[in-house]
Amino acid sequence: MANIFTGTLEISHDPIALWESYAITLPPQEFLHSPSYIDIEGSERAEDGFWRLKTRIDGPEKFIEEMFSNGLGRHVEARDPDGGEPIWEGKLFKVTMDYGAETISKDLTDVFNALWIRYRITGSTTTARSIVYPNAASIARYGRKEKVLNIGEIPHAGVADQCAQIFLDMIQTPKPFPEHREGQKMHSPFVTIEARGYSECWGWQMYNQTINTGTYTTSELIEDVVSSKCAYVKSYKIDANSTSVQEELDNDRDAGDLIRSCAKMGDPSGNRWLARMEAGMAFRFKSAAPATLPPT
Amino acid sequence: MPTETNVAQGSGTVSVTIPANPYRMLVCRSGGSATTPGDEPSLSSCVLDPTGLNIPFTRLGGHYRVVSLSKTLSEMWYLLDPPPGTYNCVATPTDAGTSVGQYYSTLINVDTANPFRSAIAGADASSDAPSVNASSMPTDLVLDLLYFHTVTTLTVGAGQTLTGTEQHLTAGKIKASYESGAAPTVTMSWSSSAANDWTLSAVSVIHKSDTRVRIVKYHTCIWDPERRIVDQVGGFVKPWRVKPDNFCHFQGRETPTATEYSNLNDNPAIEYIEEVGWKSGVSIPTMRGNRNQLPDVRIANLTKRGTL
Repeated sequence: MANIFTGTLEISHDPIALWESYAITLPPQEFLHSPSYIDIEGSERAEDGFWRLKTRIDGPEKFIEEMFSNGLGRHVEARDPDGGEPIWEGKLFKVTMDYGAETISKDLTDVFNALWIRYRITGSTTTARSIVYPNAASIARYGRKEKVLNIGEIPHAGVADQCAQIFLDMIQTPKPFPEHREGQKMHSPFVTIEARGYSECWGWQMYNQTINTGTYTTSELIEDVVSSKCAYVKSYKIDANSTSVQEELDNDRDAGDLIRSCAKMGDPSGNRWLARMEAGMAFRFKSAAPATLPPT
Repeated sequence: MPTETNVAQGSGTVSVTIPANPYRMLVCRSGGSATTPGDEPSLSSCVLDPTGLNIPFTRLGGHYRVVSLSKTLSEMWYLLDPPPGTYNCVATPTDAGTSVGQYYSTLINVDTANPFRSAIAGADASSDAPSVNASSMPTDLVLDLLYFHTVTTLTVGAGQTLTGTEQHLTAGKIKASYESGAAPTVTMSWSSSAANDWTLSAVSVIHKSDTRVRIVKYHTCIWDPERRIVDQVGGFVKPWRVKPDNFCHFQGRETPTATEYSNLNDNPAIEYIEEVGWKSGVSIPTMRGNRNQLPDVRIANLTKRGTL
């Protein structure tokens, strides 16, 4: 049974928002410890790096309720008992409290706390943007998460501003989503957590370069995007890729979309490139591993 | 099943025309004899357009017969996705004094990710009834090449269609044919008007729509080109230590119904690991891979089957 995961799961406060101070280390349930995790599964991709992690946490009811109330956005690490770097690392995106017949969940995916609207005044041929509406409390809690809406033609700019404010009020906090499961009995609650790698946070902010200043390389663009718009990147290593890109990006594209597009262009020699998150919230832009012959 | 087209034959330099079909493979069947002790009747290389594109064929395998001091051989080479057009193919014998001839044919509608059902099958004897069994499935196309060590009348077996015409060499002749696949084997057979030494090789080529071979087991090594670590999956590596952006080296593949390593492929493939998943209580990782690092080209769901 040497390959059965018996490592620890570490959950700690959001390392960027820092609105709380929290840290707990959970062993597997087999160790007869409470609280503990059970049925953990994780995945990692060549592109993006750490991808998904899901597990169930059992423990005292107060602990479960606290995790449901405050868990969204927390940092999650899985560690091998043999030590070394985390084998998985990311952010808690969804938390579900399970009572058997009833479940209630909250999802960070649906939360946005800075919003603006693209529109055109009727008769105009140019696209305009509304004021950016942020919500400071939500940003302080979950980190800045931007959204851009497009509402087409409107009679005057005030309509866009009002829409932006109204919509922001609806989506700045996570909404509990209850579900009833027919035929299930009630039991003491446990919580299921679903975490995503930090590559999911690349797309939390938009990147715009509104003036055409010529061309620059893919690596230069990615460094600019990562350093200015990827809050959940603590360090980066960007290898030189001389693929040329235009230095004008004025479409409210999110940073993650740009990073992945740059990676998909590869390099001038036709090699595949990857953008990924590695242990320690480290961003890496590199060429994919070459298809060398196996060692003998 | 794959279709054989654009057959060309000869010795040394042969002009070959390749059609523009997206699932194409150029096959070179070569056979002959070496009567000088120590000489090899094999090819040292086979190259498409050596003065221009210079693309080498890959040797699939072959079968020898050694009688007294002479050596006879029937072998096959292949080239996946050759560029369409007309080019010279140059086959170079290992030893200049040998007498060998080649058949070139383009097979279309081939599963170019996994083109061959199994390793090349070979047989040899001294008789008037050459025969060999090749592992096969109903949508395959089975190719063979016979070298017969005298110039006699050779009749192709029932169900087989001749590829090109017979070629007379210094001490014998070669003939090639193909036949529709069938499960589990197809017998490629010939009859001769007189007994003599012969060597016969055959292989099944897989149709592009055959998904049966796409379940791949990973009794294989995983290596990391940067760190040069070699491990055995399932036996010694923790599933979460198997990392994407590395390569798998597959030693075997099988049909979905098989549960044992009964149908190993001797022509191992490599796969780029796109994604690895692991879960508690399970000692093996799930993996998704593709070949040649092409984004969005997914050719295999990698699942463990049977017992390692």
